Amino acid sequence: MPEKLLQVENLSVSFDGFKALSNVYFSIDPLSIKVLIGPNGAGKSTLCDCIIGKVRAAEGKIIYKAKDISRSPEYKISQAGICRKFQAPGILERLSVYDNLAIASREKRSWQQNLRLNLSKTEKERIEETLELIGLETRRDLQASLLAHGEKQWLEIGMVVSQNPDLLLLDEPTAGMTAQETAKTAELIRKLVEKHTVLVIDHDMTFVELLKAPVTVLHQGQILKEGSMEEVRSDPEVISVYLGRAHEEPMHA
Amino acid sequence: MDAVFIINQAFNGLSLASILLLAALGLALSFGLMRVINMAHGEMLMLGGVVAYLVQQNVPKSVSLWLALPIAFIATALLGIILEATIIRWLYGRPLDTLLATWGISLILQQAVILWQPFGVSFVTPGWLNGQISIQAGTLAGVTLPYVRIFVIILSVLVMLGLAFLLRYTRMGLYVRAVNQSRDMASALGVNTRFVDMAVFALGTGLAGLAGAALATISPITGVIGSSYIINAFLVVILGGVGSIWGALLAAVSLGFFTSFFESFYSVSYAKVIILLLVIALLQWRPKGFIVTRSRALEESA
Amino acid sequence: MSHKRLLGFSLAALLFLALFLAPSYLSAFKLSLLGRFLALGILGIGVSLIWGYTGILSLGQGLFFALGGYAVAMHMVLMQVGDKLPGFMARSFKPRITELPWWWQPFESPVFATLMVFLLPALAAAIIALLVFWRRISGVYFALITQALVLAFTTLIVSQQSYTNGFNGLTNFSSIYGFDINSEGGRRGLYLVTVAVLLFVWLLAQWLTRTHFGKVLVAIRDGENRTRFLGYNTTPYKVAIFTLAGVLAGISGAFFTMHAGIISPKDVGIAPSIEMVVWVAIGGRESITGAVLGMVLGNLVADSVSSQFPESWPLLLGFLFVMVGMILPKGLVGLLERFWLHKPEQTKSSSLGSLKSEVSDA
Repeated sequence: MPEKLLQVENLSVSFDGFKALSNVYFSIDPLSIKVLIGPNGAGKSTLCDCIIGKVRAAEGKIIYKAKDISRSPEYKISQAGICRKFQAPGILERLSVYDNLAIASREKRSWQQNLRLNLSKTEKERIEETLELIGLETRRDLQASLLAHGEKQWLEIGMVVSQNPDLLLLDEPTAGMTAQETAKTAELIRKLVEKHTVLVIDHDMTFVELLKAPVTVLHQGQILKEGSMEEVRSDPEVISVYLGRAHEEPMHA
Repeated sequence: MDAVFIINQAFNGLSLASILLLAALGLALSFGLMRVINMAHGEMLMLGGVVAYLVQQNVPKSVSLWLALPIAFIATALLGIILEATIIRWLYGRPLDTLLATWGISLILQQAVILWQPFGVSFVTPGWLNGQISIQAGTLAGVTLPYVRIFVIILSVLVMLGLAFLLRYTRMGLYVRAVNQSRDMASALGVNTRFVDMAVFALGTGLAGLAGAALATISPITGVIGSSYIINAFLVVILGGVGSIWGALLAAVSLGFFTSFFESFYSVSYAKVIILLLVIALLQWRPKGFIVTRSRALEESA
Repeated sequence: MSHKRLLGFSLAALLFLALFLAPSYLSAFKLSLLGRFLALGILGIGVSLIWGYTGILSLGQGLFFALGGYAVAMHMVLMQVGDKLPGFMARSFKPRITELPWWWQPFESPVFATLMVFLLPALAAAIIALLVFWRRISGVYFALITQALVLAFTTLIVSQQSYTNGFNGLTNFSSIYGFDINSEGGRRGLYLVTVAVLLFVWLLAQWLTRTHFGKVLVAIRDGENRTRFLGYNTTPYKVAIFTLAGVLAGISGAFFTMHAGIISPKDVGIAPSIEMVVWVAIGGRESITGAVLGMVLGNLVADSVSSQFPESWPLLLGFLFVMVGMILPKGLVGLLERFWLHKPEQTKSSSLGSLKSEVSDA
């Protein structure tokens, strides 16, 4: 059995008594995609928040590359190779597109090492590659706040990718995208798996199906079911709590 | 250290704490709800004192205090409404600009009062408040508790209870707590958040005015009296925790006691430095203040 | 971007040229006044770096300004009195001082005093920043804590009359490094040194804001949490820039003291500390040149208006504060950009929707 890249063990989180996650076990193999789905409030974002150190767990462990990171500060987790794309575009609005990518690509992160004007050659190359990947070459000098909404999403994906992370967390990467853009994003993510491990959170079923990856269903802070999209779809419990609600809460098809 | 000394200092501390609390409650409310730090809050206090004085000039002395308190509250609350509508509301979401603009307001108000009454005004304390409880014999001989200070302590307890009741049991309080927890959600559920903001800001300035009227019974009101209370009131808010009135109570009482005891051991200036270092030390222990509302909404945003 | 840079550079080049030539066209009195405000410009650059670039508002720059100013003043006072005690110490009675306090003694050395101009503010700023930023206290809280610090510091100076000459401050001195700064040549020399230092600091700031370090500062201002998730430990960045701003304030205080011939609590207290920030805001806090411009012009105007209309000046000043906060958040430089470059004004969110991020950053 291959070594897991990330292993969440017995994780619980509560907010003022409300249990957002209770005793969650969860793991990802290296260089694979995993999809996390579940109705609103199921704890998907909280699980992500825990992994990147934004929310501290009440109990449990998060083992990443054989080390417990559940008490590490955010920047250390990020430096260890876990990066997240946030739901709302988390770009740096007042910097140019290029500078956004430069901040993300820079390998040296301490202030003493950054008292210099120029980036290294490999960093520059990586920025160019990323610009090409996300199709914003012509917009490199534009202030990021002036980008269109879709472009901001792309820029943030670019920022996350250019950090060259081992584990990528993508929180609703297709929010606000057209069907065509969604398909393109799915293709991009499948390409990313050659070099990265990807955890996708979404409730857009079409998109999730396009990813052709194992699915984990969260419900009320607990893992309800794990398996392929087909298995999950036919599971009566899942249907009752999640898919069955389709008539109330339309899936973004 | 004997019991008399301790009781006297504790009483002083309590009296200081009650004024601090009255001054800080309004700040805590508006900061909690709107993240607005009103640097002119000290001047609301000062104007409350001025209004109390003006009331006294125009009504029979026997009722002046009872009229001065509510009128000071109403007058400063009205001023709060005007400020909120003309200046503060345009600065929501820019806390640092708000800070500068409200400091400007405080400069204007200070100077206006100084030009009008360079030496300040004095409220004549009614006769029945002029005495003191003083113990002449026994082990506690030497304990003196002036009536005015007891009055201010009782007043601040009443205000605190009233505010707690308002927030806990009235519809307005429900709205305030709703907006406090999630502005967007409250707004979506039909709460008029504009109105709630304005009402809370006005309530805050009104409370400061009330505090000023109470202060007028203890000391003369000069144009700059606000600035001597405001910084400690800020420390109370910081130490208490964002928008928590119980946190403010706890912080006001601890600051009041510490100040009173330090000032009796060291000079006033050393006491100030020690208190500040203490606040910074306490923040190392509880960076978000005594009472932290850990809610999902606060942690959610990136 | 390049337009903005060009505008900034050409403005600055003109400004510095005019400044270096000033001794030839300004009277000695005006030159000294200008020198004093240029010294404040050095502090202004620091404010622009921490507030305009990094988003940290400090209402306590007067503290670091005072440390630099008092360090130089202590030395100069000792030079003036020679072997005797400074006058205010000789006259002191509570406590009565008969010999120079131990912490005054090393200031007899000009090298030590100069060193202290840098070290004292650096140390104070670094410790404060470390204690506060380490616990992720920022935004409004930080501003208020720095203000309380200034209050405590000035109260301390005023109360220790015997050691500091209290409210009157340190004055009656004339020479530094053997130069008489009250002579005409000395004044001119001091002025030119001030301009040169200002130019150096200006160039340093220009460089710094263009480095990757400078970009990270802007990133911290726009979204500190976001920057943390990108793998940057933001605390050392903030401590570093705040310490630099503290040192700049110290240097500024030292030059100010030499030009003004006095340093007293009223130059460094709460009100001057906040005024310094406002002049920077009026010039344009997001521009180094704007900060200097705002500081110098603002103080020149303030000086002449406040001496002619002392009673209404605070009213006017208060009104200025309100106006800057409300309609000129980017200052005069922002206004110039908007009119000359037709740059679309940044959409400032005035709704409370953006508040959440402020909260979690606070």
